[in-house]
Amino acid sequence: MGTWLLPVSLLWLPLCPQSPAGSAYDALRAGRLDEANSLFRQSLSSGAGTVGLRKDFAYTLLKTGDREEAMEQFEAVMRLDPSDERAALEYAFLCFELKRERDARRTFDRLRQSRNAEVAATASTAFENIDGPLREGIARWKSAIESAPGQWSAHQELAGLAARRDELALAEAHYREALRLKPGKSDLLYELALVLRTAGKEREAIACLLALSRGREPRTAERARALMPERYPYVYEFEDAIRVDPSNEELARELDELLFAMDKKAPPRASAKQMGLRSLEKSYLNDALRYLRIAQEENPDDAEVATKLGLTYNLMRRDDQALVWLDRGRRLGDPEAERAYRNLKASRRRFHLTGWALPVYSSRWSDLFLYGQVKGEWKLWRVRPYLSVRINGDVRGSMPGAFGPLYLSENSVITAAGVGMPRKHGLYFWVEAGQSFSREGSRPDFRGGAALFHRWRLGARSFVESATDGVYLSRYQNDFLVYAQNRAGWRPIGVESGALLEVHLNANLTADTRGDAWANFTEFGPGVKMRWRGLPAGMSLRVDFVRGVYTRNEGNPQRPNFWEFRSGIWYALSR
Amino acid sequence: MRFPVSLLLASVALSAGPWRVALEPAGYDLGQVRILEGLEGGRDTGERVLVRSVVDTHDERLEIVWEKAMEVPVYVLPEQARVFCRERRSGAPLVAGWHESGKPVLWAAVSPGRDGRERFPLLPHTLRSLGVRPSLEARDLWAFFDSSYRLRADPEYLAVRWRQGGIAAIHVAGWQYWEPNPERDRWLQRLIETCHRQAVQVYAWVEFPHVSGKFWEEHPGWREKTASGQDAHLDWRQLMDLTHPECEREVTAGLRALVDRFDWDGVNLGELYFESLEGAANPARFTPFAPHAKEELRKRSGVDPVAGLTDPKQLRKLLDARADLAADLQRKWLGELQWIRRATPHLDLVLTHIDDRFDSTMRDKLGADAARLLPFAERAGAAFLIEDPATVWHLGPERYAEIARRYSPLTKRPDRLAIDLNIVERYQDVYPTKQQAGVELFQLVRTAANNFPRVALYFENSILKQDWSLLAAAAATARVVSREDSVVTVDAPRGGLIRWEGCAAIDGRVWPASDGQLVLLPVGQSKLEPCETRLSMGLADFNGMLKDVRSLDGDKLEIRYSSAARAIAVLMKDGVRRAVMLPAGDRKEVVGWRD
Repeated sequence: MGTWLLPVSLLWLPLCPQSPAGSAYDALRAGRLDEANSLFRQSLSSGAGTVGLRKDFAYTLLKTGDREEAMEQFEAVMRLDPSDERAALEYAFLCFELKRERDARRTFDRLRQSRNAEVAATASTAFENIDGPLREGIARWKSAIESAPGQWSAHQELAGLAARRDELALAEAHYREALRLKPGKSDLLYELALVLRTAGKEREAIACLLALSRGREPRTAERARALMPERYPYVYEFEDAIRVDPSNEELARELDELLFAMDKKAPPRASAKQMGLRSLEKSYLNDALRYLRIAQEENPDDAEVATKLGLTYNLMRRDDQALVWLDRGRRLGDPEAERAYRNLKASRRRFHLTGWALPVYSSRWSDLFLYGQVKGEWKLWRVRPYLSVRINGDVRGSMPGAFGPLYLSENSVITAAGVGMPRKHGLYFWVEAGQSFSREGSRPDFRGGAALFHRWRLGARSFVESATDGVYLSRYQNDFLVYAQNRAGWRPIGVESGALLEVHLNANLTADTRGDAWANFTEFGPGVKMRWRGLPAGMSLRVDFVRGVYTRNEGNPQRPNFWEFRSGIWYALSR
Repeated sequence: MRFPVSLLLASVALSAGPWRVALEPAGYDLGQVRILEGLEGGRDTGERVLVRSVVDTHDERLEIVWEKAMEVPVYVLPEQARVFCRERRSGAPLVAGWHESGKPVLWAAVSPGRDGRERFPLLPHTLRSLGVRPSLEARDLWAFFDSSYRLRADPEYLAVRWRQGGIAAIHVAGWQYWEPNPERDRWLQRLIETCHRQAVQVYAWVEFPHVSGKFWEEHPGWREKTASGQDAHLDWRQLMDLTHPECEREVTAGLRALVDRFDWDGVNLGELYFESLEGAANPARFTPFAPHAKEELRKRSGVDPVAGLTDPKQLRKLLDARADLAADLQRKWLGELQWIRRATPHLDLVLTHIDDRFDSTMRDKLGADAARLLPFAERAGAAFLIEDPATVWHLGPERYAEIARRYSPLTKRPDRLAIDLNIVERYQDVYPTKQQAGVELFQLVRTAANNFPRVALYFENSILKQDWSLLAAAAATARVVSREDSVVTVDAPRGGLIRWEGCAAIDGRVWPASDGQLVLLPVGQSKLEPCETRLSMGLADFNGMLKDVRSLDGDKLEIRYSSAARAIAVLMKDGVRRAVMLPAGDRKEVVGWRD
């Protein structure tokens, strides 16, 4: 290498002492190889490079171990100067090192015929070094298949060796056999596509690639896409691909769409409504929109189509249009549209008024409690300021405790101003300052905290949900309470019908920093939640029966374990 | 109250989480950069592009495919922005960087993904391109090296890159040098000398029952056989029957000659068990079925090995006997290396063994049984290098903590446990890169280094070129405890390096171990502060666990260290470097420029 590298360098340097190429040679001589490569690259990209410069670059790349790029440079030299057999030899050796045995074997095979005896001898030896093991390997795997048939991996091994030796028919046969034994193995189909393309069977190759490009494995799909023509596939290509992979739903869907787009009279395999609903289900929103619009034109009074159009627009964040279609859906009598319309409308208002009330009876305390809040909230950019009125109270008032009467609730009305952050990943932060009014008088009230909520769906009717609240309360001597309420439930009647029946299991944990007995317990037990048509929207009834354990018992007037029956009415309004 | 509060804190940390897990394993601190996402740094054009795969300027050849395609807005970025990553077909910008008031800004159109590695594997390189450097490094990694991939590479270039990438030792594929060859031997001698000059140790790595390509060609009668009767040429390995007495004699002589011919620092006995990962289910790959091995199996199990493959009861006996045979072979060859070490006492020994605790199917598939072998490795003073099997290469970095947990109780020398990370194209359907690269590689290295005293990488050629620049930072186990004014307190349980320009004093004493850019940290906690003194000679690099170093007079250093192989001290005086080999062990040595 060094014997010809120097003359080229010497020729180049006096011509362009300030050029990137000149600097590249300076860096090369100083042993700054990365810098030399970078300058060579720069020089060649400006189009100033000669064949000699490219070869010097390739040899420098070899010094830094960048064989792939070196191979590409030698390949470029071969194209620029087909008579340069030394570059061709370098290219072939690098192909071999980089596992591109087929290219290496072909190049050495050509160079075996060279008039240059030295080149021909080197190429002959190298050719045999590649071809011999391939030949032997093919014989070995053929024999393995004969002695232990039915092994898909043996067919794959044999096909791979045959492809590298340009025995394309043999390779194709064994890739097909491997696929028959292991259907759906995408790397086999990909290898088969390459063999078919090399064998000139372009139509069959495209069929395999098209099937892969719409397959389940994103990487193989992406590789296949890169080998396909830029244009959109033809109908017959889709049909070929479906024959290759009949289970590929995406191919069938796209073919339907293509047929439909080409000729609307030609009936698609499914109706526009079905296609639209299917597309929406799979989150192909543009397709869903197109099909649902067609379906809506076909039947303007179909409430479900109008609702799904609204939901599609909502998912595409085009809420103005979403509201129009949801409004149409609800006017056509779809309760899902009614709910979605209300929710969307409410979520878009700058000012939001919510109220909730929870009267609940507890057997543990033999008392009826009432909790409630009315809250007016402004939606600003990143914060949500609000005004709130809370009510906390109970009928019984107090019970005897170890250190005097134990009050069962605050029995007060609390007015406050606060600020919250928009809910993100189920997490909500808030803080407020206010004044509490009760029979004992009024006093300042500061509170704040975080709430984390998440619900996991387990199939169509089952779910698990977890709600954790951490609350700081100034009025309880600066206490910090945590409530973790978890439910696993099943809904034989879902809320979409307007009624609800839910059976669930509770697993709750309550704790605080002060260690008060009433605030430190766990409980576990079943419950039922229900509503029926005719109840005001936002109202539901809930009954729970739990077994609990106090985790702190100092000063606890109760027994360490308890049973509790709770029943309450939840009512929430939003305007 | 601990549980709920910690739960809340964990939830709060979620938003920065993906960026943290993407950048911290590469040694970056999020405080070094301002991070922007989506609209925070760009203007939405209203166009959308479906992103399936991306191209990163740091390695345009790297195939980066997202497991979940995503519709992403097309953004217009500030004029000064340099775009580093784009959607493959449309060219829409996805990752960019620029400087604002001197501080680097890193922008991405979307989050890097929950685990930090789903979308932009080369994100840490973007920070590097913006001029940000991690402050801590380690240089205690091992890497496997096969010269057939580097036939014309410059040894000097490689050695410098390895050392800067955090390599302490390379394990050279010994089968390429099994038979003497003057030209190739000269090349290896030059490589070893160059490595030693750069403070890199060199181990011979053998992969029995593969011996060498020539050995396979010359001894067809000693070749291993598969259960279907073929010669066992499986993947790249050409397996020999080491139960054949003549073969064993020849291999013993060859091993002694190989160790004698070169100035090795250690020997690694790797993967000495049987094939394959498909186990008995694939007879075309199941070994050992050469006549001697088959007879050995028959004697140990009491069943006919061929018939045993198809009878579940007999198969159990056969697999147990096969594991026995593998353990005996490993003991025999480790014993042979101990014998060789009598003549060359500085040699460190390593036993590379596939994990069969985390993936317990390995015993039946390969005959590998780590628990049986560990005590023997301990007695031989060998490091036990655990290789995680191909079946779990797609699992996340957390597996290394679990592997460490399972092996620690098996050994009295946890300091000699090591883990081997296979950086190769995985057969599983993995994303975003087929081979571990960038963020994923750094996460693996960081987690492995935090759980094992030694991390080895298979292999140096498969690591992407750009990843070398951050590998040493990923391997760092040292942590900055505090920074107050110009005083930095560092905790370095295994030593390491810290970026520090100029003179440094450690615990009030001028510290001679520095090359002017990086200070070598002693084991334990140290307090660093700037100083003015200029020493005439310093310790520019050191391969070994540095415990203390003192400048005795102008030309001498007293170094306290421990090292399983020979340690290497690189002295620097007036800009000239000189490497000195030091004895293995727990030692205190005085070295001078003229020694």
